Amino acid sequence: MKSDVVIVGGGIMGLATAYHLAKLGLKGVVLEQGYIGYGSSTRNASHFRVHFWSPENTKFAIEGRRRLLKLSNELGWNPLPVIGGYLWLIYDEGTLKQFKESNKMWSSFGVPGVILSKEDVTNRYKYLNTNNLLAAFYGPQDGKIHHDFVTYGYYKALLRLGFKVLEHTKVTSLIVSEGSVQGVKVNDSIIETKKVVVCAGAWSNEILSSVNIKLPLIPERREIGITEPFKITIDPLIINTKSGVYVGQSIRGEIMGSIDYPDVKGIVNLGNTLQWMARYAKTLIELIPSLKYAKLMRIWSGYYETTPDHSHILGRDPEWPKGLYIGTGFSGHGFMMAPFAGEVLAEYIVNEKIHPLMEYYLPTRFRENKLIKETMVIG
Amino acid sequence: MNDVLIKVNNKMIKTNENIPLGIALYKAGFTYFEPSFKFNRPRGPLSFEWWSPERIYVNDYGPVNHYLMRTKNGLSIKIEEKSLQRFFMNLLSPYLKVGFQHNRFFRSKIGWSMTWKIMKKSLPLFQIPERIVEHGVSKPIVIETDVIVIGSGVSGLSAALAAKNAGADVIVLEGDEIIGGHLRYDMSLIERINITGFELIQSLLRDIEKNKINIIRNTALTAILDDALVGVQFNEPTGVPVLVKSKSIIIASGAREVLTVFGNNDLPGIILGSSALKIVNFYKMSIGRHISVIGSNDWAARIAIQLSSQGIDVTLIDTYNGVSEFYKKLISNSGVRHIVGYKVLEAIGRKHVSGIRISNGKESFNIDSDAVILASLRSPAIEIPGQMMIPIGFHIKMGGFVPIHGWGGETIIKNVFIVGEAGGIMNEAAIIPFSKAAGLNAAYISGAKVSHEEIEKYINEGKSILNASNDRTLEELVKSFENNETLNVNDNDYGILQNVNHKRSFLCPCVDITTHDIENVVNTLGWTDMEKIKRYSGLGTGRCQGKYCSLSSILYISKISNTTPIQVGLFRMRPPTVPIPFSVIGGFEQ
Repeated sequence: MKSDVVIVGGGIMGLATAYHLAKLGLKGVVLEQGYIGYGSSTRNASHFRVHFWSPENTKFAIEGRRRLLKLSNELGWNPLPVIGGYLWLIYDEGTLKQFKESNKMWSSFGVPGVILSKEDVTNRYKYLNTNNLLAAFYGPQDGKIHHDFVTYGYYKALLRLGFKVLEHTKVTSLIVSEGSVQGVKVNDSIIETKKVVVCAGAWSNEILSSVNIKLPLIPERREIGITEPFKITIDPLIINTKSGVYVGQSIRGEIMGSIDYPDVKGIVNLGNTLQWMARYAKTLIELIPSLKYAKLMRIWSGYYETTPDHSHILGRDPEWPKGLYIGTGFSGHGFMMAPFAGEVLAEYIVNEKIHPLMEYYLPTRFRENKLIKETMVIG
Repeated sequence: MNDVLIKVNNKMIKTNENIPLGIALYKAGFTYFEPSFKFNRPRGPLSFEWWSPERIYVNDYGPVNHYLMRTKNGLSIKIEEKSLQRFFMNLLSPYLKVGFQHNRFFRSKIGWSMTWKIMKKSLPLFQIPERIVEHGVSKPIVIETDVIVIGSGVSGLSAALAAKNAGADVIVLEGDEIIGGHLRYDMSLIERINITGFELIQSLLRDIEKNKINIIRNTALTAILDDALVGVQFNEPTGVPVLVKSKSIIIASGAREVLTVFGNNDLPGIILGSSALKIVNFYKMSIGRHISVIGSNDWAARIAIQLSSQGIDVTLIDTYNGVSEFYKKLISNSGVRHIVGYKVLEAIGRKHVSGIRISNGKESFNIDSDAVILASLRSPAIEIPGQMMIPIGFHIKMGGFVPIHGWGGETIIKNVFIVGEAGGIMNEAAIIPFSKAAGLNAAYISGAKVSHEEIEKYINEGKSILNASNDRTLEELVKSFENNETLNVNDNDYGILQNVNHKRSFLCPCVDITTHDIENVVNTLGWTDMEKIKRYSGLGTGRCQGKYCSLSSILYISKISNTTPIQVGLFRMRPPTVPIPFSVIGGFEQ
């Protein structure tokens, strides 16, 4: 089998990149080790935001959001976007100051948020326990989206554009000779190609190890759970900046949330822990006491593929074999960033043109010590 | 028993104290518990079990499990039957087919924001309660023993006795308040044992008492986690957290009937077989004077016979003439009207079932029924083996999806054993010796001295019972365990898919998904694997998490797409086996 381009990973990033490559006239194949979205795209919290501590990520996320909201037209498929906002609960002066400072930057990019007093929060969100609360930051541009529908929307559009998508197909190694990519090895067969894009999320280093490349990327397992459905009451995604618990309500009414605990690193089995379940339940009912008898219905886990600066890696390092590209390392923000990331990565692959917003995310930044200053991570 | 007063909407009803709330309401004529998720249809309880997905809204608590919640004085219940929002929802519902969101109008910016506003307000979902009455958070109970047995039915009790006799410490967990599994309220004769299920359980319970084996009721193992085995002792609306620590586990969680598919199969008054027997024989509640039982098998015949013996007018719809000679003879001596060769087209009724319409392809007629009992197939409860990643095969004669295990209950996990109907449906006479063999195996793994000849003896006893009735099903299952092969036997749907052409033939009652919805997904998108169909349609993602719907859905998909059930694939079993209140889980943090 021969192909213009091979994309390793059938999650949102792989599919979005492939979609834009297809639109630029390439024909290729997406290889997915499980089912479409198996890695992280079907496991995430399906929310998007534009507010990040770093201007780079904020600008990137604004473009990501714009694309997410236009997907309906783009793909002929409705990913059910709902702008419900993000509500960051603040408990100390230091954090409040940071939000106030950053709000100046966010305003300059056209996405101002609102600082709410404790009273505002108590009146607006009656279900919240606001004991010890200092203030809150509300991001009205942010929201939620049906993550499976986004993924499947790209998947369907991609098939329509003549791309192949092979599920349950695991890439065992990349084939490189004379400094150029020649193909990928899948089980016992080889797919010949001059261009490989690794969008394998937490598994990216596993794929790249066959060509002795190691990205500063660590898979961190995160657990998450949903309750039985309730009438939509919790509009924003609520983040407690002190306890680390976050909670929101899905479009179907399930109350979804988690807490950043325990710390499990590396590719491990995707199970759940009592430590997490108990800590999450206890912190959640402290925050929303009326959920005490709400029933947790389903729990699962997935990976954040985390980089040292909690920001993604796009493009290639000139020292790598020719024809090798990556789009990974989203550190938990893949869903909101991928529609834009896929677009700029595809343009880069086809036209060798680096989009000004993509420049900061090149893999060379780690050895050149040009890290992005980002610590605003949920979960 | 004391009488108590319960308020339902604005009406006071008098009932017994400390009985399941759902049963009290049903007795008082409230068989409508909640409107359905999307179409706003009346929904009653399809089952009366600790794992039942139906909820009732209790003021002070929010939605609760109708069977676990017990009656007490002053309980106040809200059943919302009519509202303006519900009226809107009724107008909208014909357009809410699976995938409607992607139509040109609904996906447009204006179309979607309008639809979302209406749906957000009008989807008939329960409110998050504004305030709740506090119960203190309980500290976890730690259950520590050699052998833990999950389920106190005939297989669990037999296995527990064998393990105890071999010298192991044994504790049995039972999710229900009633000990003994479904046979505890089965008053019909069991073929080859020639006593009733009730008598069989009573004799086993006498041995359990003699051997001082502890059975903990209202307690279920609910989550297999990386760092703990977690259970709950139910005390709705909350409960007590339970930590299980044992050297080995015997899964004896039995089987349950699944949703038979025909038109309006979601109407109140349609009840799963074992739940129906439980409320009639144990809770002594009448569910009607005319009852139809649907099922082409001996279990359906047993239900029909014992209901008939109570003077109820019973019709048995035996589509494929699947009742054995032994029970056919018992039927002919009872008052049961035995109808062979007919399929159920639909249930009739508006807020409660009043009859069924059946047809043999040429002629059709109605049968008056105050209740309809579903007993098409008993299907193993595979939540716990599924969470443990024990391989699951498919053998329709054993109840559909079955966990792969050996003769003595062995699984791919060294200290986990599966017994009884949890490991596939078979004659109860054979279940007893195989369960004893598994009990001994578990005792051995836990460090007891066990003679392997004795294990062999029980296995041979079980094999000879199966051979006598020419039953090769378990042999086929064990072969796939020993050779590490996929098990995939599917020659018939055994009457689960009675009528898939009705506009309201539900596959998934939790999320209101019909056969037409799924047919549409398969035909227009070309998807035939459960992972995609589930995520696209929401099938199986409701409160039952697949307990009612997985088997019928997968049979239906495999039928219309010419694939096997194994190719369609099963829902991934994720913890917990039943939804658990946060108050209980939070209790583990202490």
